[in-house]
Parts: sequence; structure tokens; C-alpha cells
Amino acid sequence: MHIIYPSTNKDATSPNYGEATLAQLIPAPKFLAQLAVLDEDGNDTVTLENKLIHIANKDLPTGTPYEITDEDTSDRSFRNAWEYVAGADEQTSADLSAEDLEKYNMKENL
Amino acid sequence: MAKVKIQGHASGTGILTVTAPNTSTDRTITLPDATGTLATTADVFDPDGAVTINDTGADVDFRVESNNVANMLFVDGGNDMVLIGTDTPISFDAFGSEISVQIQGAGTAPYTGLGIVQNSNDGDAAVLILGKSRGTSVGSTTIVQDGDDCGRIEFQGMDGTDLETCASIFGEVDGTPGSGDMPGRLSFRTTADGADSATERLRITSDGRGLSQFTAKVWCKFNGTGTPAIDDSHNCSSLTDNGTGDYTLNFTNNMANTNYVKFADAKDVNHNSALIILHSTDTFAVGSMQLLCQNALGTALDDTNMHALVFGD
Repeated sequence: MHIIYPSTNKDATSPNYGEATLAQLIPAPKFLAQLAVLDEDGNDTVTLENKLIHIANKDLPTGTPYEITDEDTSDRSFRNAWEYVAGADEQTSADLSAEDLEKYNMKENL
Repeated sequence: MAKVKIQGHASGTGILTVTAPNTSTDRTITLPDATGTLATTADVFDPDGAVTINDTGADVDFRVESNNVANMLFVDGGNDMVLIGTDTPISFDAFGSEISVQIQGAGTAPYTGLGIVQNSNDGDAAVLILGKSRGTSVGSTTIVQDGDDCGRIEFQGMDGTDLETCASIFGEVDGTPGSGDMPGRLSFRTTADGADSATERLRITSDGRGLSQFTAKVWCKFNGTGTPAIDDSHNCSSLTDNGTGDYTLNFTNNMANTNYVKFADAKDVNHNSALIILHSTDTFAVGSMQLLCQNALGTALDDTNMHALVFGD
């Protein structure tokens, strides 16, 4: 699973620069593992969805609409023309806690 | 049963003395058989019983002498110290002489040291534990706090007058501890030439990062084709796929500032001229870096084998 959200083309050298597009946020496996909270039996008590929500809150500007999806996006034909369409499962990124901001050496939320 | 009892007199003592004969061979007290015992009272040393020396807590010392060392074991009753090899505590940098157990020696036979060996038919080993609580009494369970030192190893050299620290290793609490939760870090410090106190050079954090001037702050190897995937990484929380050949690497922990060095590279057998250049605006953000993948003609493309590396504070 990964996160999709509306964005704009950020490549200043691209003819599509500034145009609306869809961005994908791919979680780092090691960071997902870092977010695990193990119970006494060594089982992870944090769901993948909750970990992705945390990543969205951390790596997306607060208030960014996004969706967590497991849709196959491997066909990159016309990649720069992809557009984000809000779905029923759309969520909005929120602020990190002060404790998390300190942990990530962040002075403020994005 | 034959019995000889020595009864102390009210005005005397109950001591049995065997006077030295002309030869030492007869200077023994013989018990009748293997079950014979020397009866003891509370006032008599019992080799099989608990022994307390200086039970009244007087300011007196206890000393054991070996063949070559006058103070092989010395309990300093006045200063509450145990000394081995000396009866005089030495003064350490940062601690003075207030180190409760000290070993001092001279020469190399034997070497002055502490050897700990475990012999057991398993994978366990000898252990040296440095512990810390916030309590003020022996046996306290008061929890430590974020940043507390749990233990430190000091390397000190004599500067001609006194001992000075040349290097040290600290084990510290790195985060808020709780029951069954004790995040920790290691701090490696060395003293610069001309100085007499150590400076932190490398910190290994509770989340496994190595913070120093000589370790990578962030690195990532990823595949930008298909649904992009991170093959392996360090201090990288996610990768943003912005579009063809356009990615943003999001750091788990922000850089301290934007004066860092970033490097990116791509190798793909299908794109011999593949080249990754950093974003043309040269934007340096403390929490991320943008990567653009283009071929030699400047056309954006996705690549399978891309690498990014960051050094800095």
C-alpha cells in the first residue's frame, strides 16, 4: 500500500511544470519497521494503515487530502498526466504531535 | 565423652593458649575424629558462619596483605572505599578521588586490570553492567529521565600532575523512558590536541542512526520504474513519486541545517547515459531532497537503480 495525493509538477525543466498531477508517497520499509510497537509476544500492534497515516502526517503538508491505496500504479504511461480524483476513502493529513516533531528533529509541521 | 571446658573467669578471659614448644610440630589442637568441632559462641570466629568485620561501623580500616603487595585488599573505613593494590585513592579527572572501588598497580607482573570470564556451555558471556536510577538510596527503582547518563567509560592519562580525560564513551537515555521502555544512545567522545576535555564525535541514536561528521545522514537506493520502491535506506521515511523522473526523498529526521552535501547517481543497463541531477532550483530543505532523473539529452526518465546520499549536520 502507498499514499496518493494531488500535487503539481515540480520539475522546473519540464514542459508540464506547475501543472496539476498526482503524486505517490512510497513508504520506506525500514521506517515502517521503525514504527512498529511490539506486544509481549513480539507481534506488531500497529496496523499498516495507521503507519501510513503517520507517514502522511509527517511527510505531507498539514491539510493535504490523500488516499491510502493498494491500487496497481506500475504502468507509468503518460505519468505526468495522471490526476488525483478524490475517492470515498480520502483523508486529510494532520499535525504531528510535539513529541513526534522533536523526535524527527522538525521545528514545525510541514 | 571426654570434655574439656575452659570457663572464663569474671575477672579474666577464656582463652586457651598453646605455648610454643621447642619445635613447631606439637603446636596443634587435635580433635578426636572427623566429626569433632570447635564449639563457638557469638564472640568466636566461625569459619562456616557469616562474618562481619567492624560491625559497629567505626572509622577503621581492613587490610589483607599478599606476598608482594602490602595492601592487596584495603577497605578504607573512613572514606567508604575498597582499594586493591594501595591504601591511597587516586584523584580522577571529573570525579576526584570519589570512586568507591579502585585498583592500582605497578609493573606488568601481573598487569593491572580486571578480567571477567564466564565458563558455561551456552552462548552467554561475562558481563559488565553500568546502571543508573534517579533514587538516592541503594536498591532504588526511581525511573531515569531523557538525557540521563546510565554509564560511562573514561580513558584518562596522567599529564604530569593529574589525570585528564583523553576519550570517553557514554551510554545515555535517548527519549522518554517508561516501564519496559528504555531508549538509549551511545556517545563517543575524544579530546582534541591542546584540550583537556572530550568532545562528542559520534552518536549512535536509539533509532540506529549514526550522527557525526563522517557518517551518512541519509542514503537510499530505489527503483523509480513501475510503482517506485525503496530497496534499502537509512533515515529515509518515504519517497515521493512526483512524475516521470521526478522524485523527492523524505528524511526521517531532519537535517540540522541546509548546509549539507547531497549526491545522487543512477545506473541502469537500459539507459547507459542515465544521469541524475539534483533539482535545478538547487533547493536545500532540511527535511527532504528532490531528485530529477534525465538522460544525456535532458529528457526525464524513470530508472531502476538510483542512489542518493547526504552528509552534513
